[in-house]
Amino acid sequence: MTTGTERNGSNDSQEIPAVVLRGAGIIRDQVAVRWPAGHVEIALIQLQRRRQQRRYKAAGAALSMTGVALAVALGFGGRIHDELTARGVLARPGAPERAAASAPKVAPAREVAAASATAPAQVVIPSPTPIRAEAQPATPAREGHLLQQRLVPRRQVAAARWVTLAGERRFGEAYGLLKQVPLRDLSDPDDLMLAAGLARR
Amino acid sequence: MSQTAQKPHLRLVPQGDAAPRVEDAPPEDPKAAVEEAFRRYAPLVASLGLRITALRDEIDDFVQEVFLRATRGIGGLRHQGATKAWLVSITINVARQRLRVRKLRKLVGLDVPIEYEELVDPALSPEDRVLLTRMYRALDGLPVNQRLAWSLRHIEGERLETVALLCGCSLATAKRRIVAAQKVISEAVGTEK
Repeated sequence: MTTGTERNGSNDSQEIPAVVLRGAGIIRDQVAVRWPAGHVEIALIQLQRRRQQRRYKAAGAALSMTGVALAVALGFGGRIHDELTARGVLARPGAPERAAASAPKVAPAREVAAASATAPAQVVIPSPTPIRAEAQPATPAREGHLLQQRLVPRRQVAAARWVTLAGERRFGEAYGLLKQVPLRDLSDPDDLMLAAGLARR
Repeated sequence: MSQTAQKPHLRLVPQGDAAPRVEDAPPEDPKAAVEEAFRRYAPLVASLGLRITALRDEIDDFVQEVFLRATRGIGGLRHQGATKAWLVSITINVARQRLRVRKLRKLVGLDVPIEYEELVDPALSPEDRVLLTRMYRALDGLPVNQRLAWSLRHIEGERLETVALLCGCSLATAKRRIVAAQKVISEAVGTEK
């Protein structure tokens, strides 16, 4: 068995064990893949490019929405914190650090016992979240699949999965998905119809 | 300019098999050029990618990735005759990326072990299948650049100049990588019975 090294002349001549040469020959001669020719892949490339452009637009919109939501949330959070601080529920910033800095590291046992006898009971300060929860009681969770509860049409689920798979360039799994989902469920959006038609060929 | 200087050095398939047209003009219709390249060279890209990476489950995505990059870069192709060499260089780059990702996954424990024996015909002798597995395991232990250089040299049978070109390094570096990989593979495979 001749190797490529032998065919092309060896400038990096080195003792190569025969078993390694045989292994390289097995890889060269036996490892292959049957790849059917077709136009589907090209169509999927174009589809993926269009999806990518849409994803960029969606990401930009989501980013701006997140920014607005973050600004609103921070504004409300600051107002709640100020209100609680004004009522004395929360300590003012910096006070605990000063108290901790002035406290002795090791207190005598007698002082500790006296302090615990005279100190008021520790008050557990509730976080703002339960107060808000009392104002708006949470609705009980319903049983069943989340997507079915929300009555999301199956084609939208298929479209979302398709977008995810195409976005991750897992076209093999995307093909499998197209074969599993009935064509009537792939009527929207148009790209799915195009891809399903091409896959059906 | 002589004719030999115009021809690419790449010879990953026999020259008689689907020999590319040597044309100096760039492709007129890039979209049609990619489709034509896909029809002619997708099997080559798939086989080359599979032999180098052994990632059989990802080979569909591998080919898609190569031609996606080709779609993006077809406008910069100046010589239509160099399409095959250009696709092979993209294939090597994608293979390098995939192998690095796989090494990273392996590092964090997310790598799925590959059944190398499934890459070949089941009719192959058990000894050869075991040898194939040992070869790929030895290749998995190599740094990616050494693996690519050794594979191109000893599996694909490329000239050293072509190996250096495809690996994007100097001739001396390519030789050094091949020799270093050869040493590791010989120790891992060659010494075993």
